[in-house]
Amino acid sequence: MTAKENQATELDFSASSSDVDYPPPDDLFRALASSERRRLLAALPAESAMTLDELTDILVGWQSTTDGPAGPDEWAKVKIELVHAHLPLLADAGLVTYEDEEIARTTYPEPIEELVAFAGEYDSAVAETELA
Amino acid sequence: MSFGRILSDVASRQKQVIVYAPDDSGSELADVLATRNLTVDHRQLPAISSEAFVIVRDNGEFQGALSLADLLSFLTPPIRRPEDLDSLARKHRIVYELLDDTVFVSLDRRQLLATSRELEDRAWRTGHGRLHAGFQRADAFEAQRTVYQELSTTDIDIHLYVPGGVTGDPLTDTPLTLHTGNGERDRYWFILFDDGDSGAQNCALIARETDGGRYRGLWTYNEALVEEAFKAVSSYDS
Repeated sequence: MTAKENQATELDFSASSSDVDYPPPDDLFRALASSERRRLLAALPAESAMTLDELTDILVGWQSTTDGPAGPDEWAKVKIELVHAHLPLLADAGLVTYEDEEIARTTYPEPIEELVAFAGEYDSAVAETELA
Repeated sequence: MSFGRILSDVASRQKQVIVYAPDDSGSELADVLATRNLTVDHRQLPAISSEAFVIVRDNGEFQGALSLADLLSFLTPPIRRPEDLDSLARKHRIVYELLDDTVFVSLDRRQLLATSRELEDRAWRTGHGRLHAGFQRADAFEAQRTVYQELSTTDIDIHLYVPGGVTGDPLTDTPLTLHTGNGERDRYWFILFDDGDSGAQNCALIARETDGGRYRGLWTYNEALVEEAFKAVSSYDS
């Protein structure tokens, strides 16, 4: 790898230093290692919080665009997975806050913001390729 | 219970349809669903996310989710019964349960004819049970006469409601019961079918003409509602 290419992915932690929390790498990549969780991050608006039920609606609805109609059983299953698996992992990585059944995105340091955005774009590019 | 009462009862059940879309797709849904018993809300999805989908809630409880494309194709007449929809039967049953008794649609005459034909075909294939069909005008019946003459060769007990009676051949040799001068019933276009068996083939269509050649009404495969519709037909005779 040349020095120039390397520069494009270079992370500069010095500017943010002590006042920004970077998640441990394993927590961060575990959090992103599931299409459900990446969808969740893509669906969460940057500014406002969402209720657990709304978020469940969106994930079930999104799934229905590829898998066909979904009923209350699927909905309950997705909600349970959110509460017991996905949200704790995302909260541990510092990517969302989850209190009183309200979920919100945290403010990400720039490199994390870029990583999450890239993950979303990568998913949608792959999905489009599969459709084509 | 009258037809009017059935329509207003069904219309009073509140369902909420939420359209999630990254753009303004689905904006036509409120017109398609002729919104008397549905509220249609729109919410924006982030651009890089899903294609449009629809969530249905009944008194706040989640009922189902499906893509907007699936919903629109399901609502395109002739309205099909879910088990006719091949391999996706189970999934489409969810759509059907979602919208059964609910679809209070606005249809034009051509669409209503297509839907009527679907119900008549169902009766023909079943070959037994009872079928009550109401025509608003004698000429409307004449256009369908051959269909009902063919149906009369089956074991189905057929009752036709034609205001003022038929204008063509009087049907005296045809094994069916003709009702003329039917009062309020004459304002409705209806087809009710009960298979006289498991009820799996039961279906009903009740519609009333509004302005400009459009009809408002419901179609259902719900056995209880089909039963109510049969009671409504006979209640006009008492």
